Amino acid sequence: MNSPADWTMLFAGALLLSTAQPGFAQGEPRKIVNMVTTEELMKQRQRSAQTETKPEQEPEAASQDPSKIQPVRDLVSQSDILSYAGYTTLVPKRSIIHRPAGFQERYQFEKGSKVVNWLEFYRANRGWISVLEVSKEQAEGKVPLSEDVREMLEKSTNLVVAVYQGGPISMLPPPEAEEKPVDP
Amino acid sequence: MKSIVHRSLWIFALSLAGAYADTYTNFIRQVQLPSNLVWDMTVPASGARQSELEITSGGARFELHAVNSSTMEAHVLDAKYVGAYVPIAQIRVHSEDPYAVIPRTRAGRPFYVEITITGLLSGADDPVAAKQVTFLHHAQSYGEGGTGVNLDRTQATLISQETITTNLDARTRTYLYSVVPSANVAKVRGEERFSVFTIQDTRQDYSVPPSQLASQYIQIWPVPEGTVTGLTQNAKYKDLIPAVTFNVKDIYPGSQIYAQAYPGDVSDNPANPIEVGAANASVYSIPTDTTFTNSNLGAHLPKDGRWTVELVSSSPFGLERLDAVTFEVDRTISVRGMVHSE
Repeated sequence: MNSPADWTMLFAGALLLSTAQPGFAQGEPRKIVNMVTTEELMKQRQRSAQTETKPEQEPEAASQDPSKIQPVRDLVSQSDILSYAGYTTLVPKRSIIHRPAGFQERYQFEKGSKVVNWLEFYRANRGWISVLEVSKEQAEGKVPLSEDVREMLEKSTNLVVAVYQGGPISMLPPPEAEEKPVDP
Repeated sequence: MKSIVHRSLWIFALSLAGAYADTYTNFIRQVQLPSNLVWDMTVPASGARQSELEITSGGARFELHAVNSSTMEAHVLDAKYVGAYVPIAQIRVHSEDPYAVIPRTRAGRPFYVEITITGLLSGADDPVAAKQVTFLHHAQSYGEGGTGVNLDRTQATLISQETITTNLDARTRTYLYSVVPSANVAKVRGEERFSVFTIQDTRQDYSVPPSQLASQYIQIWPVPEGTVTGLTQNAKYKDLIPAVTFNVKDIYPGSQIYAQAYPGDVSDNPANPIEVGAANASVYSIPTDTTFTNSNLGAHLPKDGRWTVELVSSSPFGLERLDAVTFEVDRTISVRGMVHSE
């Protein structure tokens, strides 16, 4: 795993390719067979079951489905909503670090609005949204925000979103301090 | 002490193409494990960029979401787990149907699952999670008339799971038929999903649950059925041949349906058949039903005698007869008279 290609992920989007389908062609005799029936399929399945090659390893008991231990949840349930003037976007929960009073109606999907990505939404709403560029360690809760920044946040009349390299990022709480044994 | 992965990770974002491009907005979300730190990458509709958020020893899950621009309905398009000791897996599912958007086939037809796994380790000191992965097989019905839209894939049935401990180079498995639950094996509507997951990675300082490395599904569509009505088998039509109606149910996506006539009895290889009707172009993505009629069949039949009219499906599975009727045509006018003179 040394080359960058080793880490390449290809999120394959849909690629619409129209495939030429064969159709009626006069003068070109092609063999036509009867469409398979339910009964024939049943017999086919029985024959296949008898001759089927077993996988290299026997399936394990399907008692616990690994895909259901921590499934990827839909984006909306894992996001906070920002909606204003006909546009809506989604940001990770905990990435809105300052919510001034009076914006409550902007935290829900405005019916009829168009969902856009964060950058597009932010560009159109700089008047009431500010961003705070944070470090990875600050987002992980390992390094607290400075006192100056916290004061600035308290005074801000804008909604503030924490971002990392321009992208909204969740701000985790500080890791809990290890419990020390209490001296008798 | 946690080590930091400094390797680069390139993200390719491809928009939902074609008809979906204008109505969906894509989001790429990086979830660091096990902390669950969440970062949204800013991405254009398509292109590639490097992830700026370095991956820690627990790895990270990359999720591609598509959100309907007007309804905010969200879909998880793909998810992959990446980490320092995490194997890499690829799954490709293919069938006789070359359709490129989603692998698909028909009930009763075989399909093939190609699995590639690299990076599995075997050393005594290597973490257990780096030595094995789990191959999962799920099946899920779309229900009667269903097309898979808004399917809750967490409800899929786990058919089998296997532990894989050796790297695989495009190993292909053949599945002779679908196991999607259905009361009628010919009327299956659903999908089968094949995935590779890591195992629970529990170490001294963290624990990462099983995470998806690769996943691909194939759609299974029902066998079409059709009827030719209006004509009677072995009937003799002397002057007017009745209108003939062709009904087809569950047309395989992208296939063509037509009716043809030729002299003689039913033949698997008729010479010079005459087209006597065709359905409108079928939908490329889901099965459909159709009806079409020929009210002037007689004009298509150039001579009298025995004829067959049949309804044909042309699909990646070949030319298949849905129904056929054979009948006699006798349009000869015979006059029987008697001349009488005195």
